Amino acid sequence: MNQSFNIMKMHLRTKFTLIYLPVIIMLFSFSINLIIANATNPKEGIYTGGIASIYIYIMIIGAFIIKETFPFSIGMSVRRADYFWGTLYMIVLVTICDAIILNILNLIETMTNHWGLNLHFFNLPYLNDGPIWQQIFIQFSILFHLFYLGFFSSSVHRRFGKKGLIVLMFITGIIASVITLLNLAPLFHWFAQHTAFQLSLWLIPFTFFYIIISYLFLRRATV
Amino acid sequence: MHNIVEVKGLTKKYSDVTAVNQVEFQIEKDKIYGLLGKNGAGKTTIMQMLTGQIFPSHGEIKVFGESPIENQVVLNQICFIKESQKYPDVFRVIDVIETAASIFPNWDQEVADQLLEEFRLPLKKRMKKLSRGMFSSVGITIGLASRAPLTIFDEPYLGLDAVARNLFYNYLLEDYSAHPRTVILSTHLIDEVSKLLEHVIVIDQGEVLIDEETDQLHDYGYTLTGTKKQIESLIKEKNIITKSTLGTLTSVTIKGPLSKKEKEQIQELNLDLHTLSLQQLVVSLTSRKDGELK
Repeated sequence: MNQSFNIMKMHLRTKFTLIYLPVIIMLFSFSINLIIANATNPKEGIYTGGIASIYIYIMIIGAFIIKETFPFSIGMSVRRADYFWGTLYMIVLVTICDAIILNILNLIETMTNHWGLNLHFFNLPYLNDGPIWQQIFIQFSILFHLFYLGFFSSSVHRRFGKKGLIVLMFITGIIASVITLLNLAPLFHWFAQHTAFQLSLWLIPFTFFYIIISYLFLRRATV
Repeated sequence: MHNIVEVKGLTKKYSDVTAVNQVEFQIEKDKIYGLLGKNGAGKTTIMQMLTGQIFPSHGEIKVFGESPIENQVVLNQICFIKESQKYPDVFRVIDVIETAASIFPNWDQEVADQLLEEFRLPLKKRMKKLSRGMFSSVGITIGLASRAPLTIFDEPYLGLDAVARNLFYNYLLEDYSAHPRTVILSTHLIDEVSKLLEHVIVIDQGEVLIDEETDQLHDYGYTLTGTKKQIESLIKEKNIITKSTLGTLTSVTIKGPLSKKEKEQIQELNLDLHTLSLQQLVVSLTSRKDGELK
C-alpha cells in the first residue's frame, strides 16, 4: 500500500483549513470590497489587491502544515519521503482547484461588468492578461510557489530548530540588503519587459529549489 | 531463536550529553519485553532509534533484518505509541483512528471498536480537548488494534486510572495469546506489569544494566532484616546495595545469589528474608550513584 496516498487522505481530513478557509477568507475580503465599492462608487472604479489574501493564507498553510501533521505521520510509522510526496500531491490538487476557482470568479467578474460596480478584484490588468490557460497557470504558479516558500522555511525550523530559522532570516536579510544597494533599475526594467505569464514561469525554478531543499531537510528531520 | 531486533554499539550523543552509550541487545520474536529505568535513562531515545524517528550517532540497528530508517518494509511492521505523541490540532478522535486504520497494514477494526467503547472515547471530540487519560486511551487503542508484529508502548497510560490500566493489561494478554507478536513496554509502573513481562532490559544512564529473562531475576537481590549484630556477620562478603537502620533493627538489600548454606543460616537465625520485586530491584539498582553493581 502506498503510504503517500494515505497521507493525502490524512490532509483531506483538515479540508476546512486546507481547502475552504483560504477561499472563505478571500471571499470575505471580496465582500468588504464590494460593500466599499457600493458605498463610494468612484467613477474610475476600484482596483484592489484583495486577492493577495488567498496568497498569504496559502503561504501560512505551508508554514504550519509540517508542525501540524509531520510528527503525527512519523508517529504512525510513515516514511518521511511518503509524507513529503503525499503532501506535495495534495497541494498540487488544492492549488490547481484554487486557480480554477479564481478564474471562474474572474470570468463572472468580466461578464457582470465588474459586478456592476466597476470593482476589479479577480480581474486585474497585467495579472489577468493572456488566454485563460495562461491565467490559470499564473494563479497556480503563484499559489504553489508561496505554499512551498512557507513549507521551506518551516522545514528549516524542523531540521535545525530556532537557530536554523534565525540563520535563514539573517541570510535573507543580507541578500535583501545587498539587492537594495544595487542599482535596481535594470531589474524593474526586466520585470516590465515580461508578461505575468512569463514571470510565473520564472517562479518555477525558485519553487523547485524550495521543494528540493525542504525534501532534503525533512529526510533528516526528527520528531 | 529468531531475533527481530539486533542492536550493536548503539550510541546517541547530543551536543553536551550522551543519552545512549554503546547499547547492545537483542529482541526475540513473539515475546513481551520490559524496557525499564528512571526518567532520562535513555529509554525513549532507544525506542525512537528503533523506529527510525531519530538517528543514532554510532552503532547498528537491525529491525526485521534491516535498518528501520525510511524503510517501508520495516516501518509497516512497527507501531510505536509514545506518551508525547502529537496529533494535528483539528483532528478528532475518529480522524486519528481512521488515519491509523488506513496506514497500519494489519489493522483490526473490531479491536479498535471494542476498545473505543470500553474506554468510552468520544469519537467526535478533538484530540486537543481530551483529558490526559482519554488521550492515552487513544494511543493504546491504536497500539493494540494495529496488530503490528513489533508493538512498542512508551509510558502508554499516563493519566489512566487503575481500572483502565487493567483493561489494557487484559486486552494486551488476550490479544497477544490469540495473535502472538513482540511487545516492548516501557513504564514506571513496574510492579503492575512485572507479571506480563517475559524479558527485562534495564537501562541506566544510557547503558544496559540488566538484560535477563524475568525468571532469572529471582536471584538478583534480597532484603534481609534483623538485629545489627546478626546481619553484620552474614553480609560481610556480600555486595550491599542499600542499608538502613531503625533502632536495633537493620535492613539491608544485597545482591544475590545466596547459597543454600547461607539460606539455612538465615533461617536458623530466624531473620526476615525477601526476594526483591522487580520494581524494588530496578529502584535499588538505578538509585546507586557509583553504578558499581553490574
